[in-house]
Amino acid sequence: MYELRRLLCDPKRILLLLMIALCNLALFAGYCRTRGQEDERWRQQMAAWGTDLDEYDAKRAAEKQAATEKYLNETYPQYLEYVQSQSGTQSVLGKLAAKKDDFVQRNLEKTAKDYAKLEGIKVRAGCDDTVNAVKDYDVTDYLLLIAPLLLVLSLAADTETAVGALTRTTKRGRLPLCGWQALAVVIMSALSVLLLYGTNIAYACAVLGDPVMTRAVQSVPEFQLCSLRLTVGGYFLAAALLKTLAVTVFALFLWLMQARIHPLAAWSVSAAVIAVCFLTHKLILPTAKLSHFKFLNVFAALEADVFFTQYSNLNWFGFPSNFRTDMLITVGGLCVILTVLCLVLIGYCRPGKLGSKMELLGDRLAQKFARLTRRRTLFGFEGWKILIAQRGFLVLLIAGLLGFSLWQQTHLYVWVSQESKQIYDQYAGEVTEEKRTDVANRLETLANQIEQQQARIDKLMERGGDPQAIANAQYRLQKLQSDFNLYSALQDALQKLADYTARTGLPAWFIQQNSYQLLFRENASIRRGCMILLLFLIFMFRSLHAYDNQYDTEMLLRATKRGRGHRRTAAWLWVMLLTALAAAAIHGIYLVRLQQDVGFSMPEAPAQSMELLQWIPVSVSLKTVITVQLVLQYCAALLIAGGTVQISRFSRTPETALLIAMAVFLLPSALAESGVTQLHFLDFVHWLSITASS
Amino acid sequence: MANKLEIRHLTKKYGSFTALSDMSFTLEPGVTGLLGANGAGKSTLMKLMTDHMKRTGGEILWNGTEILTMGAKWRELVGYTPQLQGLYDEFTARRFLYYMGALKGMKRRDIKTETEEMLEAVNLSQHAHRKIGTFSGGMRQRVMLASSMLGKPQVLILDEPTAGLDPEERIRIRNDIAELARDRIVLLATHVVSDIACIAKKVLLIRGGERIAFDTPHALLENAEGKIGEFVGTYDEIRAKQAEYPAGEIAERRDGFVLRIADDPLPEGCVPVTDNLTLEDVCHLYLKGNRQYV
Repeated sequence: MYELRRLLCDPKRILLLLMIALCNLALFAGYCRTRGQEDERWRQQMAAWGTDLDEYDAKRAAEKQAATEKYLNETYPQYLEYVQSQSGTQSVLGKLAAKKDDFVQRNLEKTAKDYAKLEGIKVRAGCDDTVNAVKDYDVTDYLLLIAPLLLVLSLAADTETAVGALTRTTKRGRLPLCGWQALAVVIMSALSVLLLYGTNIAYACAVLGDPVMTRAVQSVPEFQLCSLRLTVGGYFLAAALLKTLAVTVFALFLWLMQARIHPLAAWSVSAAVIAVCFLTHKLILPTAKLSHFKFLNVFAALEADVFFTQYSNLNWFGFPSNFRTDMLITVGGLCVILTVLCLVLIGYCRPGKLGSKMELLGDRLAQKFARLTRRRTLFGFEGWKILIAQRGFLVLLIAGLLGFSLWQQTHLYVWVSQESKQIYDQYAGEVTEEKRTDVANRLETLANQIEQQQARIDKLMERGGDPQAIANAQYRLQKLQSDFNLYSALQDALQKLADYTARTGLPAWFIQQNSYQLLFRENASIRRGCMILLLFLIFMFRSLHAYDNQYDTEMLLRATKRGRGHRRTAAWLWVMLLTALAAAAIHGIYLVRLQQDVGFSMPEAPAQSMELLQWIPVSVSLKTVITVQLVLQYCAALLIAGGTVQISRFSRTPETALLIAMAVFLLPSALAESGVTQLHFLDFVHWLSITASS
Repeated sequence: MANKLEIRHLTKKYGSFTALSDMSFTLEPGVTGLLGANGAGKSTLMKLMTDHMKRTGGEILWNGTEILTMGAKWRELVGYTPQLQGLYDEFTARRFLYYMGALKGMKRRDIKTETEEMLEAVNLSQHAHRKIGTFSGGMRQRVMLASSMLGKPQVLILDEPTAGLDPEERIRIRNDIAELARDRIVLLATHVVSDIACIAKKVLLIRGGERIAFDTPHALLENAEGKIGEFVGTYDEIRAKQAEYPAGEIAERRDGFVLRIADDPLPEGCVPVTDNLTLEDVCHLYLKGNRQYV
C-alpha cells in the first residue's frame, strides 16, 4: 500500500498528470473550434456573396433536422431490416447452392444473429456533434500514454539502482512489491484515461451540447454499424475501459523491456513492435484478408472508435468470429500475460535467472550492433545522449504518432463556385487599365441584360405566360444578378488595388486569396499543430543539461579540452536540428495540406496584393513572405527550445526541468487556448504559430 | 626541461568563508599526495586547478604561463577524477570512454586504441559493453580513473581515485599511477594514507584551507620523530586516556592495550615511538588541533 502511495501520490507526478490534462484540454478545445470553423468560414463566404445569414442559418438547421429525422425514422430501421432480409435471402441461395460450410454463408447468419439483439431498439435525437468530437479526436489517445510510460520508466530505473538491490533484500521486496507496482501501473493508466478522456467528454458536453447519455448509441449515424446494445453514456464508459486496457498493455510491455533487457535492444524491440502495430492498424483496410492484424491490435483498442463504429467478422478457418470479441480476448490476454511476465521476471526471478538470460541476449545484440551505434564525434555523442540516454527517441516516436494523426485530421476546404473561379482566373495578375475597362464594360453589359431580363419577365407576367417560362426567366435573372454582384465586387477590388499602387508606388496584383488567407491568418488547425510542437520541444529538451546535473558529470566534463564551448555547440546543433525537424514537420503538414486541398495561386505575386499584408513597406513576393513566416516560426520554436534548455540547465533532474518548463510554457498556453483571454500574451502556441498578419 | 605547475598565493572565498587561504607550492613530475581532513579545501583546490570555479586571488602557472590565459590548451593537458562518481548510468563503460576521448579532442583512431588500453589497465575489458548503472562502486571508480588517464595528460588531478576499490585493485591502480607519474605531474588526494606513503614524492598537508606542510614523506616522518608516543595499560586505563587525547588509536598487543597518540610535547608517561612511524601518524599530528609544521 505504501508503494502505491509513493508512486501515485508523488506531487511531481500528480502535477505532471494535471499539466498533461490541461494541455489535452487546450488541444481538444482547439479541435472543437476547428470543427465549427469550416461552417463559420462558409457562412462568412455566403455573407460576402450577399446571402442573408439568418435565412441561411434557418435553412441549414431545417436541413439538418430533416436529415436527422430521416436517419432515425427511415435509414436506421431500414438498415436493420436489410441485414435480416439479406441473411434470409442469402441463406436460401446458400442452401440451394449446397454451400453450407462457406464462410460467407456463416458470416451472414452470424451478422443477422448479432443484429437481432438490437430488435426493438429506440433511436432518438440528441447532440451528435458531442459524441463525434470525442470519438474522432485521437490525439488524446497518444497523450494518455505519457504519464503511465513515465511511471514505468522510473520503475525500470529503480530496479537498476541501489534502491532495487536494497528493496529486494527485504521480506516483501520482491513479488509483493512488484505486484503493488503493477497495480500502480494499472491505476495510473486508469487515472490518465479518466482525467484526459473525461475532460474531453465534459468539455464537449459543455460546449457542443447535451449528447443525451441515455439514448441508444445507434442514434448517432456514425454508430449505425454498431451491434452492441449500448447507450451513449455506456459507450463513453466502455471506450474508457478499453483505452485503459490498451494503455496498461503499452505500459507493462515497456516496463518489461526496460527492466530486463539491455537499453539498446529494449528500445529497438519496443520501437519495432510499436511501429509494426501502428502501421498494420493504420494501413490495412477493414475488408482486407489480413484485417486480423488491423483489429487484433493494441492501437485499435487504444483508439476505440473502430470497436464501436464498425462491424466485421474475422475468418478463422471458415468460421466467423466477431472482431470485438477477438480484440477483447487479444488485448485482455496480452494484459494478463504481460502482468504475469512482469511479476515473474521483475518481481520473482533473481537477476541471475531467466531475467538475466534476456539481459544477456540484449547485451549480445548490443555488442553486435555496437559498431553501428558507436560514435566517436562529439556531435554523435551528444545526439546519442539526447535521443537514447535521455529517451528523446520515445518523444520522437510519440510526436511522430501525433504528427501522423494531425496529418490525417487536417483537411482544409474552401468552396469556390465555378463562375467565380473563371472570373478570378481571367482577371488574375497585374491590375491594368485594360482589365479595369473590360470589367466596367462587362458590368454595363450585365446591367443592360438585367434590365432587359426584368422587362421580359414583367412582360411574361402581364401576359400571364407559361409558369415554366417565367421560372426559367427568373432563374436567368438571378444568374445575371449574381454575375453582376461578382463583377461589381471584382471592380471594387481592382479599384482598391489600383488606388493602393497609385498611393504607395508598390505593385499589387489581383489574386485568388483563399489559400493565403488560411496561411497568413491564425487558425485552429495550425494552432493544434503548434501545441504539439510546444509539447515536443518541452519533452525533448527538458533533460539536455538536467541529465548532466542528475549524474554530477558537469565538473568532469568541464575539465576536458572540448567540455565547454564545443560540447555546448554540439548540443545546441542538435537542439537546432531537432527543432527544425519538428517545426518543418508541423508547418510542412499544413502547407502541403493547403496546397493539396486549396492550392496556392501566383506565389510570385507581390505581397501587397493581399489587404492584410499591405503594411509591408517594401515590394516582396508572396513566396518571400511565406519563407519569412516559416523562418519566424522556426525562430519562435528555437526561442522556446532555448528557454527549455536554460530551465534544464538550472534543474537538478529532468523531472524537475519538465515540471518547470510545463509551468512556464505549457500552463499559460493551455489556459489561453482553453479560453482565458487574459493570458493571451503568454500564449506560446500563438508565438509558434506566428503569421505574417499577426 | 621538466614541466612545472606553480600555485602562488591561491585564495578562494565563499562570501565571508575562506575555503583556501594564500596557498603556494610548486608541483613537479611525480606523485604529490594531498592530505587533509574533510572540508579542509582539497576539492576546492582541485576545482581551481581545473579552472572549474573562479578564484578570489592568486595565480596558477603552467611552465610560467597563467592557466586562465591558456584556456582549452590547459584542459588538454589535464586529466581529472572528481570525488563524486559523475558517470552516466545509461552509458556502457566503452561508450563513456569514447565520449571522454571525443571531449578531450583526441583523434578517432587514438580514441579506439587508447580506450582499449585503458580498459585493460583498469581491468574492465570484459565488462566494457555493460551499462555503468550496473557497476559496483569500485568498477565505477576504475572507469573514472581510465577516463582521466585517456589522452595521456601531462597533469593528473585525482580526487580519491582509490575509494571503493578492493586491496588488490588498489595496489594495481597505485602502481599504475606511480608508473604514469614518472614523466607527469600527479596530484593525488586521498584519505587512505597508505596509498601515497609508498608512491608520493612529496606530500601537501592542508588544514582549514591553509597549507600546513609541503615536504617529502621522509622529511615529514623525520619531523614527527619524538612527537608520536604510546601509552600501555589495561583497556579501562587506555579508555580513560583516550578521553584526554582524542587523536589516539587503540590496538591490542601481547603486553596489553596500547594507545598511540601524536602530540608535541608528548604527555607524561607516554613512551616515544622511534622506529615504525607512518604518514598516518603525521596526519594525526598536524591535521587535528592547530600545531604548526616547522
